[in-house]
Amino acid sequence: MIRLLKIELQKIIYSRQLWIILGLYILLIIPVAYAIDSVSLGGSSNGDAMPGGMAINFFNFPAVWHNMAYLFTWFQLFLGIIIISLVTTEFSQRTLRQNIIDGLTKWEIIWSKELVIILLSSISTILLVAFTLIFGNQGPDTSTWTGIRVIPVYFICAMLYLNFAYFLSFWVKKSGLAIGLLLLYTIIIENLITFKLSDTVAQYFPMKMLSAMIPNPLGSMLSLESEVQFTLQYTLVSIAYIGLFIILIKWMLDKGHSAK
Amino acid sequence: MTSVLSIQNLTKIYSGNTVLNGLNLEVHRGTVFGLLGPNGSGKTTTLSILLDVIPQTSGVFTWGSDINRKKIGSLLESPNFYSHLTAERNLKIAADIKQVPYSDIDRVLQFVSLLDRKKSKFKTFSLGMKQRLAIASALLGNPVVLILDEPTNGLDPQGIFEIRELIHTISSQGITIIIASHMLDEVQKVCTDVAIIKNGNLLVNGKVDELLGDDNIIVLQADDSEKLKSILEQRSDVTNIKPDLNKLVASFSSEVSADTLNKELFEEGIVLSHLERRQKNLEMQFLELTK
Repeated sequence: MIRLLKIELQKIIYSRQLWIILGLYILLIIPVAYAIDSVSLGGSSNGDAMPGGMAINFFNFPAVWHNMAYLFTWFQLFLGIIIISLVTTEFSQRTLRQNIIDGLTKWEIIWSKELVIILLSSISTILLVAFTLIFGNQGPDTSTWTGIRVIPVYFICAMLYLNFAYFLSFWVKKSGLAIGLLLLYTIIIENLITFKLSDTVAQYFPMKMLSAMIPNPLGSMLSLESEVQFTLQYTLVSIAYIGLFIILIKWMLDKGHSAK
Repeated sequence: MTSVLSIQNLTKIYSGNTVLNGLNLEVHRGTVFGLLGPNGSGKTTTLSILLDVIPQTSGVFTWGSDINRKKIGSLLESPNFYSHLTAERNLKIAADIKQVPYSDIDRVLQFVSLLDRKKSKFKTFSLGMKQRLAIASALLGNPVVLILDEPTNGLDPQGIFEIRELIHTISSQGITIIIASHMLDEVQKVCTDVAIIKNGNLLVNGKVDELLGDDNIIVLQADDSEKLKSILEQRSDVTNIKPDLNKLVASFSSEVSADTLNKELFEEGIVLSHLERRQKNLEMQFLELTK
């Protein structure tokens, strides 16, 4: 496992693109958080508190956990691009084929990328915890650790999203197309598919599920579900999706997907 | 001779097209095996199946019992490396895949004369250098078998010469080499064994020096075919006589001119009704199939 991770890391750590994307990811989140913070304060421009005592400061515990996690999901595209770039480079430079020729088995090919996904999801989750702890404001009557159940939920979301990006990029092989398709799917395609479906079914589509697990914290103002959902159901369906993506990738590999 | 690779009835059908039609082959240890055929004849398809890149439709192949998949070094079509990485870092990835220590990298780079460029990025390499780096990568961990697909494709004469020299050196170390090529000339120069395929069918398979040795082939006919045969058999420069309808096909180990031969046979009491110098067997077949 260490060997596979080492192989993958050697492919990406010398790429400037990776560091630019990771750098932007790390540097942009906090300024955006402050921007949102100032906007939500400005929202009550007449000086009144928001209805129902909803005047939330972005950085106050315990809400900061949820706020920060929600903000992090906006930035998941950055991590998605890293995965897409890693996978599609293997096709454009025909190195996936070479890796197989050199002796990597198909499962090793699959797991090596999966390990990078686990690593990126972990880094992202650690950043979430670090940023929250560093920038969160301790109120007088709340514990710092209230709300930490968002941590496992966020990790699952990151894994699901990145595995989806993994599958898409493996399928279409081209980075531009994969990024475009990922965005299109997130914003339009899934909504079109689920438009006619009942909520019981629609809620289990990947993007719907992601936004249900970590919903917009301001949703409660519109009487929408706004609690972080750490449920067995969502967790199992996420794992099932990841399994499905991996099986599809294995199927493509077995059909000689790397050859053309 | 022990078998390194045995292929039985290998067939590949791509969306209705049979690109490989029941191929049977044996590759023996220590040989330089040429897979010869025009472009699109199924050479790369065969090698891709052997290397797990694509699945076969039917048939089986077995590598020698002592051959671990990582003990097969391969260069399939173009050299494929990470363009933003240096030669050395590319080879580190290959070494990790093959579970070979990094200490082997300098050895293989030295072998292909790229040691002084090991810190250069792959994208700065010329095609000849890329091809040599690919051979270096294939040699990591001392493979038992080396597979080279069109190893001199697109190279200038200097590059072609360098690659052929490398192949000779590698072969002299006892490594079995399988080369796919569309150039008869190349197979003649570097291979010991050859299989010719066209449209996925095996046409000929045998030793290169038997199929395309330097023998001179002359076709003869006389009324007394038996006598002609016995006289030819007595000659020390005749290596092989085969009947071809009512003619005889004789292989001569040395250059013999038609008129000298005619004169000598006449002195033996043979009057020839047909005397023809024939092009070498394989060359003819190859030209025939590449039409």
